[in-house]
Amino acid sequence: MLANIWILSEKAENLPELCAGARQYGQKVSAVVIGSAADAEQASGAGPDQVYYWPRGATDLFEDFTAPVSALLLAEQPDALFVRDSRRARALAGRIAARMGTAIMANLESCALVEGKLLVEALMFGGAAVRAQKATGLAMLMIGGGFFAAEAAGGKAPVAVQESKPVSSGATLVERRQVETEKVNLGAAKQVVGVGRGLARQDDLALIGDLARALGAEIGCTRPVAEGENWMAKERYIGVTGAMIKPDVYWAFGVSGQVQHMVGVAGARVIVAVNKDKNAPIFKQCDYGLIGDLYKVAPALTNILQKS
Amino acid sequence: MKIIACYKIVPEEQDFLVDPDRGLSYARAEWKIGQYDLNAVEAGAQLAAATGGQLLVLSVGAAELENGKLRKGILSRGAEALGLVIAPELKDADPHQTACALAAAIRSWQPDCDLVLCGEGSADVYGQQVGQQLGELLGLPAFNAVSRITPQDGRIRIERRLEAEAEVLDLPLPAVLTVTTDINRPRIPGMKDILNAGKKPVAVLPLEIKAEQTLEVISTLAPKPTPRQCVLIEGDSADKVAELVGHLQKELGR
Ligand SMILES: Cc1cc2nc3c(=O)[nH]c(=O)nc-3n(C[C@H](O)[C@H](O)[C@H](O)COP(=O)(O)OP(=O)(O)OC[C@H]3O[C@@H](n4cnc5c(N)ncnc54)[C@H](O)[C@@H]3O)c2cc1C
Repeated sequence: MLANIWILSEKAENLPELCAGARQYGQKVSAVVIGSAADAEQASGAGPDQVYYWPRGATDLFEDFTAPVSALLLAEQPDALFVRDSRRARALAGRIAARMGTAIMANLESCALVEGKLLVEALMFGGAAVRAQKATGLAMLMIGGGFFAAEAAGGKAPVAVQESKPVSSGATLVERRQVETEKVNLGAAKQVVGVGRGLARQDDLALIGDLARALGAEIGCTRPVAEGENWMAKERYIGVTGAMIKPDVYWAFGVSGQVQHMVGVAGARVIVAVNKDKNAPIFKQCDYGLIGDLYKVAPALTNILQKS
Repeated sequence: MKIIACYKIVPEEQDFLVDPDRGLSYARAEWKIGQYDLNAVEAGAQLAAATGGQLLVLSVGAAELENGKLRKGILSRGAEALGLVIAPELKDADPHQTACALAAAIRSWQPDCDLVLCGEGSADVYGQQVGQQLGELLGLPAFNAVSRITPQDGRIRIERRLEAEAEVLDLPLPAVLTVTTDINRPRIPGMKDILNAGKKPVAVLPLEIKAEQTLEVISTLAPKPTPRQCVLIEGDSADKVAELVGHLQKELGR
């Protein structure tokens, strides 16, 4: 076992997952909290041995805690730092990594303790390769949601309030506002219909909506449909950098089958592809492929399903 | 405003050769510019145009950076000059090494630059950290997830798209920013841009630091393949669609 693993999450609610994960490899687990007293309290009950708590004021930037957190890391010398993936956490972790002279390992496939070191397998080239690697110094791991399963934790860990203050990089906050996000759980869906750039217009999503209703399926998409076209919420894109799903059936309409997307559906029991290009790479990675126009196939399929 | 956009070239994953033991070779692969780095270059070109400034592009890596077509490719997108650090030690560099090499190159090549831009993540490692590490190494403010950049008198205003929030910040310059993949639509260079690119200056810079590896690579393999049946039906008539439904009913046992 490693002597000491630190865990860090922008949101305290994600600490139980990280903590349960860190427990698999570390004797002692210490949680870093940059937030409110309520966050520290929540962290204390999430299962760590210790909480380092930096109070964060309303205009303090999360990223400006680089210096104090790095200083404590240097003093305490843990073996690893597990960071729960979020954009702010990535920003902070990148800065910390520079100070610690290490690289963060991200896009994890697996993690194991081998000869006293964390051996981390990570996806590369959008999923076309898997790299096994070890850090020579501090092992920093970027952990996606669901990579570790939370476990029930008992007791309360002591909270050490930190006196060290954030150091401003010169950036000042002008405004912060909530943006609307969609709550979808593609991961739990039994059937998912995925739409690619084969769809010509956003309005045509209605065709796919009808089909999904007839199937009782959730709708997902490729990354360019969500980012670039902005036709669907980002929460709906599937792939190495988006949702990784395991439905019984994945229906791909107008999806070419690039590895970055297909990695996200590798766990599907059955993959059905509809594409008008018979040379589309997806036809080598599906169970059933129909070479044809999605504009004909989607309504015909809806029709058959509604009748049966 | 003097702007540097950083980019990375990577082998085309569709050209990888895989042997039965999942061993992987990219000896035959074409190299390409990382897709999301083009957003950084485009953002730089637009800012340079808006401020009457100048865009430069920079990459660090191994011998593949000698590729003339890729040099023209990057220079045809609004940049005035290219800086390259080419060193065998930078082959398969980890994100920390990359950031160290970029920081050293910027310090020696363009110490007076105002803004450094990076793409969201490289097309190989996609660790989404080089911009942040670079900012820290240069002692500059650094932010990721930047979806809008507005120049202001000697400062800039940025908007960041976080998971469920938008955040607007004012920053002093110089600064390092990592842009989102939908901050813009990268231009498609025309014939004239590509021809002109061949005349633009390329500075080959020495690697002035010792960039030690921080990640020890044990192996890089193709993923375990998932066997699929690949039953193909040609045609989109109602009959063919019914045939597809038949297959699925059998498969799912209903
Ligand atoms: C670092 C990195 C990470 C990435 N991560 C992801 C990711 O997580 N998820 C993801 O999806 N992508 C990701 N990508 C992008 C990925 O590389 C591909 O660009 C993307 O998946 C392609 O999307 P697509 O299949 O919708 O579009 P295209 O590749 O353009 O394919 C469209 C397909 O539609 C077919 N078509 C057109 N008209 C019709 C019609 N009428 N009927 C039937 N078929 C039709 C065409 O034949 C074509 O095959 C990533 C890229 C990079 C560089």
